[in-house]
Amino acid sequence: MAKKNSLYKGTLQNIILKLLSSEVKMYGYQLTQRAKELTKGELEMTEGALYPLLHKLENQGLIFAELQNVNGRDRKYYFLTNKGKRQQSEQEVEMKSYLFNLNSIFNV
Amino acid sequence: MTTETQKTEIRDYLLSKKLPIDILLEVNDHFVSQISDLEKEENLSFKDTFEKTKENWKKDLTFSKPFYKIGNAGIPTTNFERKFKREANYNIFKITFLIFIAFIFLLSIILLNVNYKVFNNSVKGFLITSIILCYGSIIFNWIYVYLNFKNTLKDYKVSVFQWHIFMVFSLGYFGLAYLNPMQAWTNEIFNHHLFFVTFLKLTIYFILIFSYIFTAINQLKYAKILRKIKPHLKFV
Repeated sequence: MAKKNSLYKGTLQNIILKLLSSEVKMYGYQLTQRAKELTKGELEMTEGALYPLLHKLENQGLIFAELQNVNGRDRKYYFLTNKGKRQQSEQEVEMKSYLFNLNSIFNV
Repeated sequence: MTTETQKTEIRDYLLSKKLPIDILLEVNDHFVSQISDLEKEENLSFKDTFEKTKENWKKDLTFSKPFYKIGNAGIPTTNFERKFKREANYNIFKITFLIFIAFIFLLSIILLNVNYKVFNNSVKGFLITSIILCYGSIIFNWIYVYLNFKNTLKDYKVSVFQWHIFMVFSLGYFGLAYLNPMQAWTNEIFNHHLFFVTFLKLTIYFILIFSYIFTAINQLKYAKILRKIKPHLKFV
């Protein structure tokens, strides 16, 4: 699993921004579960990679966070900022181009 | 459904890992969610799912110390917190560097275009401004914490941004003592006499300015986090 996850390492930021763009708000555990669900268990985000990256994206102004009380528990929800939405669109275009090129090579 | 006793057990475990509170709140929610899901999916008891979750987080919540740290002084730090610190330090370093470059540029313009009195006053002025920003923000946060939390936070880390103050107190005291009197070396710089001692004093001056700006930015971020988490510190 570690070997497979290393391929996802460089794209974790893209994955997080994409997931946040498809939902209004998400919290950390929800992000890990959604990624796992969409990839049918293939992608398991480690918490040690996810949370520092979320804080990094927050510092960069791509996402913002809000602490909300849910069933008596404090939960930090993340939202995309306008800057984050623009970046996500650009990165998605780059990603699709990258995947197309990879597809061309690996289908030879 | 996790009971209040179980939630307390989870929180106490995370507090034992000395996580800063702003990170702990998030990790606590993750733990509770993960345990709840495991209980449902695998039909295990709270004790078993808690152990499983702890095992899952074991590597991240193990205490470690950086290579340069001697002995066991200070509050221990987990690998998880260390990742946050690294990212926070890198981000603030970049901002500080940009401000510092702007300051160097401005000082150079002043050096080349005005008289010695203005240059000397500018050198002093920049230093005094950065000292006020740095120590002012530290004192402001101390007062805010005391007024809002009294001594309840003394055993907790609140945020990765609340440190870096030892550096400016120790460095500041010896650095400022070494730089006095300032006219002696600013005069030599103004007249383009860059002797070794002058160069050394100029270097220490730059290091002080950089440190003060770096610390002030950390303290500003710390202040922001204090306000954000204040309504959520029920357990403190």
